[in-house]
Amino acid sequence: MLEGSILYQLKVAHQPGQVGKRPLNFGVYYKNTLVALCHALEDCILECQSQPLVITAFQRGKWYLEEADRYADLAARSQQVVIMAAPDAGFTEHPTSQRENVELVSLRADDPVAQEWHLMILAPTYAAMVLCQELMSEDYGVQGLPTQDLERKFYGFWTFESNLVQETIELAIAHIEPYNPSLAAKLKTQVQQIAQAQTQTQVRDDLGMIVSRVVDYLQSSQLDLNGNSTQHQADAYLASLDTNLIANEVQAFLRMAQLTDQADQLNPNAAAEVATLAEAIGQLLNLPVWQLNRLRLAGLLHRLAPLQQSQTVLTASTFGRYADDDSNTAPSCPLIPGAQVLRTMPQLRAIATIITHLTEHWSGSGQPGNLAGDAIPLESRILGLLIEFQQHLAIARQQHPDRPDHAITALAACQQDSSDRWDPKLIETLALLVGGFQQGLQLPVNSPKISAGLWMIDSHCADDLYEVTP
Amino acid sequence: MTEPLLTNPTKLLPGAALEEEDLSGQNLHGVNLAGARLIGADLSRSTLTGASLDGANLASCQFIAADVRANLMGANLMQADLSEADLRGANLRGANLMRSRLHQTALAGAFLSGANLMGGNLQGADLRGADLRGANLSGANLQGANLMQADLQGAIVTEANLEEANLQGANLAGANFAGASLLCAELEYSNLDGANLAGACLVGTVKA
Repeated sequence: MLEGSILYQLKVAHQPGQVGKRPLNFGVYYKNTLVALCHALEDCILECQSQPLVITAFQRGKWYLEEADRYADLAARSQQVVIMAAPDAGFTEHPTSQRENVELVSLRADDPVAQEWHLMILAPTYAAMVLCQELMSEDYGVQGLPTQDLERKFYGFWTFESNLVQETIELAIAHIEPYNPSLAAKLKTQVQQIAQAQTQTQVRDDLGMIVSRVVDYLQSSQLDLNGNSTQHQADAYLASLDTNLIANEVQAFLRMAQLTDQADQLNPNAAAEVATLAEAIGQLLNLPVWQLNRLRLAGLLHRLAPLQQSQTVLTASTFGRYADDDSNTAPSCPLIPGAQVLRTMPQLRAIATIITHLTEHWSGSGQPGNLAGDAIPLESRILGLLIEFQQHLAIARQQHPDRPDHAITALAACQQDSSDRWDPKLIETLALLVGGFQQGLQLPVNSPKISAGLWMIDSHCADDLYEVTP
Repeated sequence: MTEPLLTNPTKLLPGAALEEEDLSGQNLHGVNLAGARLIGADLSRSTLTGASLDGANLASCQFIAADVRANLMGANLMQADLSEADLRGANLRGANLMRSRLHQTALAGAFLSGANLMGGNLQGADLRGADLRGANLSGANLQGANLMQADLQGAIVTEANLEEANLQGANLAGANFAGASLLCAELEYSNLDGANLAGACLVGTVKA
């Protein structure tokens, strides 16, 4: 990794042991994936409720010129656009470059940032970032150098986390300073204003729409790949590119779910902990491996459902907004927006169904489908119970950090409404697991490695859980 | 025409000759096929829990999505397809898995010490806590595989693809990673004492 590059500086700031900073997980991206990803995140600017600051690094001016017409539209909806690139002919002359709110930073050829591909978008209502560096020729190793432009490899990460975007923008501004001190001063003021507006308004663009667009653009790239496969291209090359696109579709959902966790200061580990508990319960029930995998992925994604947001962790006895709803006469299943977003990816159809039915009751009095007993998907029953259990666990830890019996307290809270709300068999299995905890069983809770998201989906995640039963 | 095997259990014996048999979807729980010849047999979606297949010749067999939590010590699984199969805790010590397909295979806690996995496809395999001591993974594709807490002491991992693999807490002491790609692999808390990383790509790892 190039010292002095923005990715390097950010990595150093997040080295293990840095207080308050989470180590960053990097992933591998083909140019093909980056183009689709950046186009999607950029096009969201056109529908953004506020005007963003956009800072980009294009490696060379010629790559910017390929996008310069699009950037005219983006600049029209932005507060400020900054383009960093090593200059090529025509770089400064393009009409977009002449716009009042577009600033060019001509990087020196030996500037490490000239090897990087960045897109940073920060607005009061929207934040997104792609931060990558191209592989050096020696790093391609035994696979050899790519023969196609779209096969060029980058590594880095992308995110919707606005604090991370702001941190990176500040690094970029520091990098711009020696080139153009007055621009740097102007950008600093703009960042401060945006950060202030973020805390004042709390309004955010609909992330579900943004994620849908990301998935849509990545899927289009997959179609393009497969449409062009008649040429003499190696299958392995196409498969790698295709895999990379699907992996990032899954990542889009995982990154969306991650934001809910991070916004919940009292229970920021819910997704990872629920997924781990679910896997343990699944093992006790001797579920087949494919179902364990599906359970784990649904656990990681369960916070996509907005019912988790509308509820504070301290009112845990009824989780979910439907539980308070007296009318059992819903004419049809209400749509769960978070689960609907998942349906943009057919490979995750079963996961969407599982998440939709998390709030059913064993007795049949739950929503959205009034399903009862074994008609509720098993994974929905397991996860519904474990979400409740984990919330009680988080409360118990917070209220009595010194006591060793958090799991017993949480289990007792779930047992209170076992006959009505939960599957009694699952309450028994959970009691077995809690007994294990009392005897010293420990489950390592690991945050998922989001960059490797693809490996969590297999063929069963696409199953249609309801079309087969009446 | 082959007889249905379940009505003729006498065929399921140690050392049996079952080449090219279609055993897909069968419940073969606990069978003893030690040393049997099953070259090219189709065992997809079958249940082989607790079965004895040690020393069996299973070259080019298909085990797609099968439950193979069995004893496969020293078995020949060359070019076998074990995609999405369940091999959790299976005994594969000294087995020959050269160029086998282990795509998204569940191998958590499996015993693979001394196994030959040269050129195997283990993309996205779950190898959490697996025992891979002294195994040969030369040229294998382990892209995105989960090797958390796995033991690769003294393993040969030369020119293997470990891009985006999770090696958190893994024991990599004395392993040979010459020419391997660990691009964006997760190496937090892993033990690299005495590992050979000559010519290995460590770009994008937390440790590098």
